[in-house]
Amino acid sequence: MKKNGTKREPTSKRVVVFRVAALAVLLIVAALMFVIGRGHTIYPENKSFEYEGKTYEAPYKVTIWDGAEKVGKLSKKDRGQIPCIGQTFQVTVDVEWEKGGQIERIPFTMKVPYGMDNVLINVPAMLAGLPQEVWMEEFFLAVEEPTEDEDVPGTGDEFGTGEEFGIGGEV
Amino acid sequence: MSKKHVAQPLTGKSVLTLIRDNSVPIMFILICAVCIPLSGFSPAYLINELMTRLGRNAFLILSLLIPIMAGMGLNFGMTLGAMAGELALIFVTDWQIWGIPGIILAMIVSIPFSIVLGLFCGQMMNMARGREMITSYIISFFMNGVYQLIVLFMMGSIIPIMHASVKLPRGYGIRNTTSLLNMRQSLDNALAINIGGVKIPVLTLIIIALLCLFLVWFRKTKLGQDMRAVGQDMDVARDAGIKVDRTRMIAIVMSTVFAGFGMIIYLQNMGNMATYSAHTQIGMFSIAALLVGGASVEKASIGNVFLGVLLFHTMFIVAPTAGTIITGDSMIGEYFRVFISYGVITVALVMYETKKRKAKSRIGQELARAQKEADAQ
Repeated sequence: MKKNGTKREPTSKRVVVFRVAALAVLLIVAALMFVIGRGHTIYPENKSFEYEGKTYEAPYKVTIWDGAEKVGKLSKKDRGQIPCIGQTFQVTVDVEWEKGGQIERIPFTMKVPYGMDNVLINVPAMLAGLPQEVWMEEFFLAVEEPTEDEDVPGTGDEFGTGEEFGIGGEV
Repeated sequence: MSKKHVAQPLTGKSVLTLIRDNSVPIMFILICAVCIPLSGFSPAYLINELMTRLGRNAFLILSLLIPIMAGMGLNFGMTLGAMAGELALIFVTDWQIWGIPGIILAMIVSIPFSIVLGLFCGQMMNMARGREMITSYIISFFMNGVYQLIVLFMMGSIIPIMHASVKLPRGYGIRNTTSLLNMRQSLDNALAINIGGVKIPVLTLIIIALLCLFLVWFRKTKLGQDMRAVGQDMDVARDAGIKVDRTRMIAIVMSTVFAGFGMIIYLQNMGNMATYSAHTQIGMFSIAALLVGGASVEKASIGNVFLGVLLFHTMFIVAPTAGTIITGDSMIGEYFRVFISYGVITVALVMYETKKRKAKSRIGQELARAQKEADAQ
């Protein structure tokens, strides 16, 4: 019974089914977005690599392509930065082992661990066919600290009249 | 029986009525007509800017239509939906979900926040019936305080936020600017086409078109008809068996949810978010744009939304440059567009009250005349 004495109509079974189905669809889509939309930053590094006493020399130049788009060009000791959405990192690598030498085109695919935001990969070790755990590691970025204190609410005058005068700027 | 509308020739009186009824859009057309040539912008630049702003703002403004249909006036409480969208974007940024999936996830995450805020706002508006606009306006200030409490003190301390790039250096609270670089314009760039230097964000426009279709369809549904009935006369609607309070509440919840989506579309276009102030003026300029398009407190259509975006934003684009050329001071143009924005809302509200009073007095006069005639017989 409601306050005014009217009886609340029972929700029909059909309506409940529709509501539950809509909620389920939303949850499934959200879960799917979590998987397919997870972003990673891949840092390919063209540096000589030592593993089990053997040195893997860095090529003269490495060009990385994502389809038709060039996403990185690395000389020796260079490090690039490539955004990757999803858990599969798929690129084509053009390797120029020596200056003026022939360019070798190598397709490359790797699985990116879901929990890693930034992934560092060593290109010479990867090209040598070493196991993934050898040439891939998590990369921790130093967060840039702001030079001045963040201008957060409560730090200005009470009415915010010092900085804004209403509708302005970009809308 | 439905009345047939017959096209009547325009008389002097009807032209005056037409001008009076559309005074705001006409005024803006005149302002734009003067300012566009003065600004010296090329047509391609102007159209490009307008197209960007249409994609950015139209969804937000469309979210205002449902409460107007339900007779609740201009929903200043749409700010609450904007806050819900921002909360969702903060989470999605922290979870590192990028691109279109990030936008979709943010929209889904914003829904429960919007529903809770919409229910609260709707409940308050039902308590303050007849004073919905001022109530929603003040609620948005109140909720802004709650939002700041959550974002500034609870996020990172009580609510888990993992990434230091999102948090303030002190370890809790969110930074003043949240970077949305990883989803910047992903919606606008998907399926985008370029015609003569004008970028057309096709996917964003499709989403806006879908909302328009939804609104057209919704008006014809049982709930839509109920809202219109409630908007026309609450007492009659209640007598007809419509649950007035519930219908009004649904209108506000829907508006808040759409405002949340609209804010996400808006912010993905901008590419960054002023965490503590992005929502504060959103209701104001969305409402101003709708009114500029010829809408009133009690009547608004999809056409008003698009006309409003075009006129209001043309003024926004050209006013600073035109102001600089006319006065030699760029700030004059800035002030001009600000005062016009607030001014148009004031004028619309005054005109609404005047019309209401005139209608009331006309009805009173008609009643008195009828009474006199009855007494004479």
